[in-house]
Amino acid sequence: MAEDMETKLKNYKTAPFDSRFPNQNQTRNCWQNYLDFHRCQKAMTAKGGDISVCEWYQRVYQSLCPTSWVTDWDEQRAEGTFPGKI
Amino acid sequence: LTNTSISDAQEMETIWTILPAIILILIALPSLRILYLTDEINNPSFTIKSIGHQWYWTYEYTDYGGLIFNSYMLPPLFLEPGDLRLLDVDNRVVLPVEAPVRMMITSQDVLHSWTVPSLGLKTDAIPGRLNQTTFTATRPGVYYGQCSEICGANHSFMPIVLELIP
Repeated sequence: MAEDMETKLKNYKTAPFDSRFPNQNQTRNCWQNYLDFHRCQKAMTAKGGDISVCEWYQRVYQSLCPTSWVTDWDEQRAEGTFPGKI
Repeated sequence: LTNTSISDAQEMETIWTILPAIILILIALPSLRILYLTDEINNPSFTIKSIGHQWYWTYEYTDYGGLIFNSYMLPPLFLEPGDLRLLDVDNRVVLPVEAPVRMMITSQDVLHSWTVPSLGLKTDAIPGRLNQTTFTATRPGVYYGQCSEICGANHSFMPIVLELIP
C-alpha cells in the first residue's frame, strides 16, 4: 500500500477524476482534500506515524485550490477560526 | 348583442396553459440530461487555475510548484504594430496542444466569465465557487477571448489569451 502510494506520487501529473465530484462545481473537491490532508497529518502525528502518506491529499488540493483560499484557510487554522473540523 | 360567446372560457384557458407547460417539461428533461452527459469525464494532463479580478485574470500553474502570474490587457499606448487592441495581454496562458487541460475558474471579487469562443469555452467565475471546464486543443496558435459577465467599469478590458504551442 505504501509502495503503491509512492508510485502514485511519483507518477502524479494532476488531480485525477474523483467520482464523488463528477460535475462542474469542484468547490467541495478542493475543500475535502484540504480537510483530508490536515486530518491525516493530525492523525499520523498523534500516532507517531509517517505523514508522507498524506502527501497525496496535499498534491491534490494544491492542484485544485486557488492559492488565496489555501492561504486564508491556513491563517484561519492558525487563529483557531477555521470552519472545518480537523 | 352580448359577449357571452367570447368570455368565460375557463376550460379552454386551462387546456392552453397546462398543455404547453407539459410540452415544455417534456423538452426540458431530456435537455437537462444531455447537458450533464456532455460534461464528459476525461483525465487531464494538468490543471490551471484562473481567478478573475477587477479587472484582470490571475493564472496559477500549481501541479508542479507554484507558477502564478497576472494577465492584464495591454493598454493602447503599449501596443506593438500587429498587436490587437483590447485583446492582447502582457502575459498569455501558454499551453501544449493535444493535451487535455482542466481549467478551474473562480473569482476573487465579483462575477466574471472566462471565455474563449474559438475553443467553445465559457465558464462563469463565481466568488466562493470553483468551476471546472476541460478541453483539448488540437491546433497550435493564439486564441482570444473576453470577459463575459459584467463586472464593472473595465469589464470590456480584461481579455483572455491562450497561446497553444506544439
